[in-house]
Amino acid sequence: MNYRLLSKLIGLQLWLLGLTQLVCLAFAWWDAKGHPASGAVDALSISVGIAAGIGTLLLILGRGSGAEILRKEAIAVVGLSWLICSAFGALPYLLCPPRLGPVEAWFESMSGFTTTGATAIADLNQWPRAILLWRALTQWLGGLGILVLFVALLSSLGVGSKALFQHESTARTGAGSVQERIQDLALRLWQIYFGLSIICILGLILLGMSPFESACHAMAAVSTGGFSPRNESIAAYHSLPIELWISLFMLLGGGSFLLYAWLIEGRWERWRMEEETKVYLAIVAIAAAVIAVDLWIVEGHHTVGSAAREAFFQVASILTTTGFTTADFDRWPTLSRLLLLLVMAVGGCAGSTAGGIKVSRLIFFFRTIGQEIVHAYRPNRVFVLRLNGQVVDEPVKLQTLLLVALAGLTVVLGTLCVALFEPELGMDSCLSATIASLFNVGPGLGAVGPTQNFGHLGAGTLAILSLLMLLGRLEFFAVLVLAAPALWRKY
Amino acid sequence: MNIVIAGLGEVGRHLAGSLVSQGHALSLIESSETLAHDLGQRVDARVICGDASSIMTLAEAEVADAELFLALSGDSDANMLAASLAKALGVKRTISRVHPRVQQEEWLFDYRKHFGIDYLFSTQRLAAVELAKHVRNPEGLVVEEIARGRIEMQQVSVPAELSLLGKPLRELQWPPRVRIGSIQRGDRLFVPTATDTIEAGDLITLFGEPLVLAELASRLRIGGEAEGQANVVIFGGGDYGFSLAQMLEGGRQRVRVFERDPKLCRRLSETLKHTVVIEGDATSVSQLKEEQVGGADFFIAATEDDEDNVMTCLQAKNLGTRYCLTLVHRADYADVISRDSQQLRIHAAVSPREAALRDLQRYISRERSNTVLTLSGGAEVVEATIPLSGKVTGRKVSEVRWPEGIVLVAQLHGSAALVPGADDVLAAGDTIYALVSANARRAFARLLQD
Repeated sequence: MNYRLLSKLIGLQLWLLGLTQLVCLAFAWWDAKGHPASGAVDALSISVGIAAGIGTLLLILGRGSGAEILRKEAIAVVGLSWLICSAFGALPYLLCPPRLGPVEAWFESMSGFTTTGATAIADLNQWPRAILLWRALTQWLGGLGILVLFVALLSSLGVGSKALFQHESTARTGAGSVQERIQDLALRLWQIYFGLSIICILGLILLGMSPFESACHAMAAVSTGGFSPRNESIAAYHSLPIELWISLFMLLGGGSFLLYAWLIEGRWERWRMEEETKVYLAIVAIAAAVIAVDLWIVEGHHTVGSAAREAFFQVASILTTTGFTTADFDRWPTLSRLLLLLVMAVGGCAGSTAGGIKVSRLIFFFRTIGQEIVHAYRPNRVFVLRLNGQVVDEPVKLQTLLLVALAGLTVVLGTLCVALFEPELGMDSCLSATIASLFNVGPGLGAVGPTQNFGHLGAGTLAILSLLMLLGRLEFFAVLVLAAPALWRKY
Repeated sequence: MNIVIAGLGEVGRHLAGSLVSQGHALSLIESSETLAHDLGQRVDARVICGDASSIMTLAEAEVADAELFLALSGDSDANMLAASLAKALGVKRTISRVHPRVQQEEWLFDYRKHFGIDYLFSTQRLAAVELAKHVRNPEGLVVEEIARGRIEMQQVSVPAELSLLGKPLRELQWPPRVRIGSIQRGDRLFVPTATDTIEAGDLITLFGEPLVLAELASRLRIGGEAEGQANVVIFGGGDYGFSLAQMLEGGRQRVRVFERDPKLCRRLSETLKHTVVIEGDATSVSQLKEEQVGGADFFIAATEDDEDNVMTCLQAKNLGTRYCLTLVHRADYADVISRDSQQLRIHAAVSPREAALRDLQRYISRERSNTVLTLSGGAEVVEATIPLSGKVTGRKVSEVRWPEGIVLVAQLHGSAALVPGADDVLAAGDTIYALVSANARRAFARLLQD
């Protein structure tokens, strides 16, 4: 293991975090003029200092490392840097009054970077706006991935940059996905991401939201994070245009950024071949329709319009694993609640900022099941698996099945652990907390429902949920390898 | 005519034999010494032992003075190289045998123009065209392909109960780019005009793209309803089986391919989207039974092995397959099988070599206008090249005054073939095919004079 290289890359990331916090610090200065003095300036100054100090130390330690990164280092960097970044990201919550406890702060930070959007903060009004900006920025950075940003900006990473990219982003790994230089691709994805965020902010300002809240909501929507600077989330605005605009950008964030890159280049034929996005949109439409009907008929007090409006926004928010709320869906009929739980697991498309199992994997999964059923009575028939018109290799198929199985297993084990640590919680709360964390959604049902928060959970539970978020965001392998002893030894 | 042939395999040898007997002067280039020696004994021609893609060999064969150069070896790339070099050295016309892949890609890239080759063919594809013809119209009266297999001619006898009986032709709702060439009513055969009608019992000759035509012909035969899908089983997913499956799939045929090689199976299932690929050996009866081959409409044996082909055909026939077709590679077997096909109950035996020979003969003997096939009743399908300057060159089809008794049925422009419509332009160098009744033959020739 090339520890120097590891140290250098992580040092660089701490510098980036420090710079981002510096932006928040500047905002805190500017903001403090009109408000009673807050602890935000002090807290952020200390935090920036620590990040820059340790970052510099790591950079010095990493001096003279070869620039080229190999697969082994790459995968170790991905897992490690997420753990370390989330720890440093927790500093502002820890230092700024009204302080969070260490585990709560780490949970909040991890929830931000993994774009989960589950919060341990009970009342956001007590926190200075600069800290809320930092909260939104962590989601924005984590949405596409800090390392993907590195791959885009640093040209010296060499072959390992492909591994970095693959383990941090969820871009499809099937055939014909990545034909170009990985650096160009990463740069293009970030450009699209940045562009979408800017458009979203401007739109929200035009729709009457304040610039600060627009920025926070836009960053949380495009990254499918779900942190809102308001306690009531999007429900606070009671505005249909705002809900529609945010839904649009949540759905865009949950779509494939690779597809956008192709469409921007004018390669429209890709749209004809595209299956994943079409299935994704179909799931949104069907789930929203079913829930709307369920709300309208079973829960009498909705009109058709309001039922459709709530159902659509909530499906868009939950399917893309954002987690904004306009309605207390915990009080919805059981069918609707279960359907929401189901779409949490689905998530967005491959190559999006969303979490979840991803639509393309589910398509694979069901196609493979179909093929195996045929194989049971016709063993000699030869099948190939296609997605978006491209043939998928056998190893990818196997990985996909494994990942779906792993996700299922993790949900079961995670629920068990949560139940162990939280004896008071009901079954739906335990299950939904696990699912909402693992698939980076945010709000669950019951005690962790849309009007609740995670602050009342014990430290052990929060730590487990944080770990689940990381597992879900990095899609298991980049985290699990850290526990493999052979990774750290010489072969 | 001075002709040079490079690569003397099965196809080359037989072509050489028949060309010599037609009185052409031949030079043969063959790289295998034993084969070259053997040829020298058996064929009355100059035999050069060497590599046809070397300039020295080509110069020795005096290709500069030859009118025709044929590269017929089994190696597609070497053939194209040799033909291209020969063209550069001054041969008037070059022909190259290629891998079917090259022909499949012709719509993407103009190989012929790039390499300076006048005519590309692949024996695998020609054999597949032949087999596909049988599948599309098993009991068909006459099915012929013209314009290199992309336009087909079918004869259909009109049943008594058909809604379109008695209506003038111009009022019929035909699919686009389909033409009625001729109508035979009783003993009289005529080329119809827009005001003629179709009567029960007529024998009509249709021209069009194979898929469109097959659909239309079946609708006509059974009175308006489309027939169900035919169930086709192909044994062997090599170049022959692949080409055939590609031609048939997506049409009115449901295609299954048996192939033994797992790698090839995977490649087949990646390329053929509407074909079911089965990794298995059709020589095993149990596998045939398991795949219910007995219930299939067609069994086509298309492996490289004649014995396997014939035996599996017999097997399939025994299980109850309606039509069994086979490829026969060895010339010695081909005769026996086609002669005894009634006893063997094999519906048709197609020889790639024969198919290639016929195709080449047709190309070599091509003149400005030349009869492609003759129909009963004296009408002919005539192939002609549009002259550089003449009465029809550069005009739209509708602007030409076509003499009575002539129907334009196909046009080859570059590598695109179609049934020309009123607005299509006849460009110099295009090949056109027309159905010409016996008394209009001279008028047709006059029309195409320079």
